[in-house]
Amino acid sequence: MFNKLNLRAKILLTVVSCITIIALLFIAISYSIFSKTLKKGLLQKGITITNNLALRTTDMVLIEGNLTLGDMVFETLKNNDDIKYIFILNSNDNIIVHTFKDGFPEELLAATKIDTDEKNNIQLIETEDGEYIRDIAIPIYGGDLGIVHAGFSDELMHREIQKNLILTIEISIAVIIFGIIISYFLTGMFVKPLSEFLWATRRISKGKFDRRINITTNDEIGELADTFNKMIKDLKEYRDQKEEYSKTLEKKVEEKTMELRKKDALLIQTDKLASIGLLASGVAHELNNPLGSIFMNVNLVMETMDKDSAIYEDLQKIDEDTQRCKRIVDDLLCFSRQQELKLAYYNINEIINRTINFIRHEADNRMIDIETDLGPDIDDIYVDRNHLQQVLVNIMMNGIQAMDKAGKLTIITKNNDSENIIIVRDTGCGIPSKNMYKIYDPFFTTREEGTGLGLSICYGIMKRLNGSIEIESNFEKDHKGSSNRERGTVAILRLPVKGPVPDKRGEDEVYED
Amino acid sequence: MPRRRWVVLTLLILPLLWIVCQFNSEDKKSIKKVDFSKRIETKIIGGKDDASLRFAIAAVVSPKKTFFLYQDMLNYMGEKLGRPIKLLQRTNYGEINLLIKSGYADIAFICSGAYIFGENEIEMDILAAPKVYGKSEYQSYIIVQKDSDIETFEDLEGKTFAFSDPLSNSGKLFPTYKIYMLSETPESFFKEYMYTYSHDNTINAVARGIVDGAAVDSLIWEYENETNPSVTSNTRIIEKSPFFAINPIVTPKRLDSGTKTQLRNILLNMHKDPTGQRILKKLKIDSFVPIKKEAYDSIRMMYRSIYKD
Repeated sequence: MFNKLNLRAKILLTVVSCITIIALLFIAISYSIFSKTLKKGLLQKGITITNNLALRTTDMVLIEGNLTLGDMVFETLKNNDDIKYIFILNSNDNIIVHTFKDGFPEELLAATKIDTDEKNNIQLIETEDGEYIRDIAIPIYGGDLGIVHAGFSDELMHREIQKNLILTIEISIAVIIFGIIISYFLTGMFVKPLSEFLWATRRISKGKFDRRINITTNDEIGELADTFNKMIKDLKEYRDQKEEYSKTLEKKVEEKTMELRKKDALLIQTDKLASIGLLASGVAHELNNPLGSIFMNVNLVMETMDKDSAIYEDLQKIDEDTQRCKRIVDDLLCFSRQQELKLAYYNINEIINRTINFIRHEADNRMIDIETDLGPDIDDIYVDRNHLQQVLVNIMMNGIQAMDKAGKLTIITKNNDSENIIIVRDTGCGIPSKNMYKIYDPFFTTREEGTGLGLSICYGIMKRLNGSIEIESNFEKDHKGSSNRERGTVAILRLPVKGPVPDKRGEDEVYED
Repeated sequence: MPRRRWVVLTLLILPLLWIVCQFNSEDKKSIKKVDFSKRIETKIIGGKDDASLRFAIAAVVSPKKTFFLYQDMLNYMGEKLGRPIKLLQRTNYGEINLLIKSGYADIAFICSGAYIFGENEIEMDILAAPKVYGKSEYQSYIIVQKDSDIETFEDLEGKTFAFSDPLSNSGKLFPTYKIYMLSETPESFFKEYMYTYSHDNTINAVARGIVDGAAVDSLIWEYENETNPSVTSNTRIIEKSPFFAINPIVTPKRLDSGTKTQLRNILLNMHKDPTGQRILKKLKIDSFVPIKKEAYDSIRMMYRSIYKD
């Protein structure tokens, strides 16, 4: 049963039991000692009173002054509450004087008969009412003259003992109550923190890490609470991490899949471009000579002809289309031809400013602002300037052409430890997401006069320069209503920072187109 | 609860019970039951209840001392007589005279003065008288405090004075006779006087200066001077009376003559017996001697001069 109690009840019960036992012992010992002492004291007092009376009455007994004797005896009786009776016997055991009102108790004399050799005799008497009386007998003048008997009631003694017992019990109860209060608070010091720990542990086992143990005492319990709180915090962090990790894992897998797919697509693209490049180069070479022949012959014919004739107009048409074909063939050749790179260190910002000069006219015509944010601390890069310029013109022209009127073209350069980045952003219509995978495909174009080879060529050049090109676009119709995303296309060109110092700096020549 | 805990508890509680039992069992063994409701009438002690003779003595010293001094003598006499003799003590000579007169006392050691005061109304015979310091006579001493400037009895006029007993010869009759001779009465002569009812009280009263002067039995003063000189040394005798016949042992006339003779013989032969001698020595009495009525004539004369004139 005891083991089923909680800690506080156990401690309280133990303490209270201990105090109670000690208190009971205390009561018993104090009762015993007090009783004995009081009894001894009262007995001594009784002996003294009786002795005194025996001494005082000696003369009166001798001169048979019985009236005076009576006075003395009654006076003594009057002055001592606990004296029940006094009587004096002469040497013949005849009663000289007694204090009983209606005759002398018949049995008393026999019960209190004493041996006069004794200095004093004490006989305990029980009355018919159950009262205890101590009869103290003192011989007068060594017993030759008689004996004085005085009966002392035990009642006073018992009253005193009882009073003392009650007081002792009261004190003990007070001590027990005090003990209970003290142990209640003392156990509180242990049990309260313990229950808080228990509560916290239960919450943790249910997976709730939201609460902390609020104990700020400066002792071992406080220290334990701090450690416990730290443990809860660590557990919570660990769990959160785990959850977060499992949540993001899926997303990461998805992202990686996308990336792989992209790379796959790029590989296919590269492969495709390579095949197309090979094919185009063959076709272009084969078409280049007949086209040259056509162009030359048409012009020769046209020189001989009157410009107002109907055929001239047709011939002119042939000439234009031939030129157009020639341009396509040239582009194809450019696309397929692995021209040797003329690498040197150039300042990117400089190349960009030059490129802007090329396209400025076209932009002004279309009322398009050009904004630049060129990083000031960009190191020189090791590139083929003409190739990079070609890529930039292509990208910027694409941007300008994507904006109908009053757009803004922004060019930003920046760098980090491993690469230089050029960002070209327009505020044009953007590229529909369904077209995003086709933008590098040769001959893919949305414009009537475009050859569809621009981005394919750019892609090829950037690859050869060990760089990359990324196109991100927000097509206006894809994101209707979403105002926080800016419309337009962003081209991001990345070029690696090359290590070795170049042997020569690129010539500051004029760009030719 | 584990078993060990019970054991500990029991070990704690056992002494407790033991103590309580110890206390409660105490002094139950010798209790006697007395029914106080059964009462009997007790007879008043007094009267001649048995065959014993009664020897009356005035407690001229304290009753205890008197008892101490005379108990042996009474036992001795009783033994010789074959009848127990009981001691009766009274604090003054008048009471002793009454005891003789009423017949309550069979023998009495009385003052010479009391004998003269009582002889006319009480019929008594003298059995014997003690011989002390070689004679059966004594004196009255007039004493004052040691440093007092009182030199003669006449100087005591207007002073305070202590008599020992109204019936005393040495303590009352002689100083009264002195005053009578000066044609005064104690009331007129002294500023104030008192009775002490015992000669040792008288000596004390003077020694402490309670009174200016007093008359005291010479035997008592000498006895005190011998045994307790610190008190008597504080007193000074300014006058000694002529010798008077010593206090006699008397018996009422009606006591049977056989007993009377027996008692007289016992007394007169006491000093011949080693036990009797020892007892007499304790009482400072040499022996008991016969004495005649006429030996008291000088006292009788003083009494008659004062009271019969």
